[in-house]
Amino acid sequence: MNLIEAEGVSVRLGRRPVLERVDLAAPAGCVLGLIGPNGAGKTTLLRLLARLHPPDEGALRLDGRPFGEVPRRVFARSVAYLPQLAVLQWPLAVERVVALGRLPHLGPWQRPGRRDLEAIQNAMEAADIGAFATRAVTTLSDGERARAMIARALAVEPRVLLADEPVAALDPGHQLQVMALLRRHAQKGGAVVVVLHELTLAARFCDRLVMLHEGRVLAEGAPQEVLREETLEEAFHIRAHRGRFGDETFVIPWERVTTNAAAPDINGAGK
Amino acid sequence: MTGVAKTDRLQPIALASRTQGSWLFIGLTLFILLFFALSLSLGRVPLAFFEALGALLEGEDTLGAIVLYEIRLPRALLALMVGATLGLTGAALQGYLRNPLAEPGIIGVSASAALGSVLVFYYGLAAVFPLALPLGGMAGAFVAVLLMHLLAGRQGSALGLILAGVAVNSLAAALTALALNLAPNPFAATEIIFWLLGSLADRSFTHVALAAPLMALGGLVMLTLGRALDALSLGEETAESLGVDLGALRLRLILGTALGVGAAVSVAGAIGFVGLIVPHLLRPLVGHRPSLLLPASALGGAALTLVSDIAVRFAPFGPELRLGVFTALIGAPFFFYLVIRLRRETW
Repeated sequence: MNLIEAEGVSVRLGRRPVLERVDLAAPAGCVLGLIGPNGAGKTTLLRLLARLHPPDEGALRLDGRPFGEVPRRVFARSVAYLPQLAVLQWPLAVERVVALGRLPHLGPWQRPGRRDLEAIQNAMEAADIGAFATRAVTTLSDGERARAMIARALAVEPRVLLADEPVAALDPGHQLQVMALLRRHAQKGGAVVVVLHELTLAARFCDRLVMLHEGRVLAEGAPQEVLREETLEEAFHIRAHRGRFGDETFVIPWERVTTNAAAPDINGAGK
Repeated sequence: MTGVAKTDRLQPIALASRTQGSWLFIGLTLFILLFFALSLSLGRVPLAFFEALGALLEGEDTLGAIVLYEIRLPRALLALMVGATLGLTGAALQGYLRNPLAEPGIIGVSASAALGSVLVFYYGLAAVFPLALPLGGMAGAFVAVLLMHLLAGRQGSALGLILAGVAVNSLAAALTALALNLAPNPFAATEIIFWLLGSLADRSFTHVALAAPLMALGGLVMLTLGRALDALSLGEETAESLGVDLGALRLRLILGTALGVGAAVSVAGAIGFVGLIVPHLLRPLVGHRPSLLLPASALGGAALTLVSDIAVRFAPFGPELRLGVFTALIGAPFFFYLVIRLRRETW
């Protein structure tokens, strides 16, 4: 059963098509990576999945139910959305920000209970932000802030986690940590859709990849099938070193290709 | 991972605590009670306060009792309610627009409400139908919030907001000036000036009865916005993903502002800056949480207005100072200070 799926969704901004008949499905237990060059429509697709924007065409379903049939609060409890840029208006304490993740679980005048505090604590531990739980969120470094935002999304305890470039501001250690967090979320029966630019992380931590290019799905499937020479060149205009380390695939973007002329084989490390 | 950060299981103490900020609320309440009593006992006419109070409670018609009941009590009650409304509205607008410069006076809501009241008065509707006055004020406030919304947009930057405020304020000022210009007699002109300057002097229980239910209703509507405003501090998209219905939030805010500020201005005139200063001073004391800032600002607004309304009675010169003039005199420099601070942060 697909926890969240999009079927033939299209979005147009004015006359310009941003997404054209895109399909995507993430079953429980799956980390689905969304890759593609800037402007390919990744964020738009993620916003559709978060129900922040309606598609011009196509259908979206949560757990088999069309989005339109899912009540607002149920949807908010089931799907957490982590936008690319964290907006933080007031210098709230970090734990207060994380606690906002419990809003969909609380009635209008209900205070957070034991269960909520537990979820907040778990989320803060998972994201490793306990050391600055009481600091003002505006005083954090970019990386610390990114982790605080991830904790906020985890505190929702959603079934589906939608994350837009969650590792962009992080150092390698915390990148791996966040990817492991996403994996664990899937292992516990959730689904994750994550936008990534780091291809090796995409190859290693995602079960499936969807590569978008100019609003269409260019390739879809297991990481090795998607991260091929032709697709990388067509989507990103790059040539990359690809290889395996044990069972794991890695991809190192090597040079930009500007023409379609045949290029020398640089994939010495590969296959 | 170092062992330093992970000493023991995290304890979000502040989260579990039910008492956070309660000392602030207790303090503000005591402050209000004190100044409410002072507002009853102090004035131009010396009054043996306790004697008058005793007479009033026993139903005797002494001069003191009449002064207390007919003049000072409505005045203190209005200060309380108008101040609470302005403080609350300021906090709600600042939370919604995520902008510390938002305030009913600055964004033109008060001026438009004053215009609404002036028009109703000008055409003599107030004499025919008493509710016309608050209705006119509410209509003015409603149009202003709507206009500001259209002009500044939802993600209104500080600049967009201030520009929209200038536009709405100028339009309201121009139309009010026109009404003043065309005023049929000097008496009408004086009355119109009342709304421009803002005052609680010479108000009666008629005014209290007229405005109180509407202010209470508007206040209640705004007090329900806390959760949504908390979520909004993470931006509109995140708030929406947390289940906040932005459309409903906007509607409730506009309704609450129109009801509260419209009713307040229609009986007290435009009293500026209370909604700016109060949330600003109290925000750090409630951990910057928009939801807690709402009730805190209501209490703070009531306190500031009570104090200001006592202060105007003791101006060491000429006629009594108008309340709106007094708040503007302390509020405008505060606004200067805020702008300078925002400048430092931005540049």
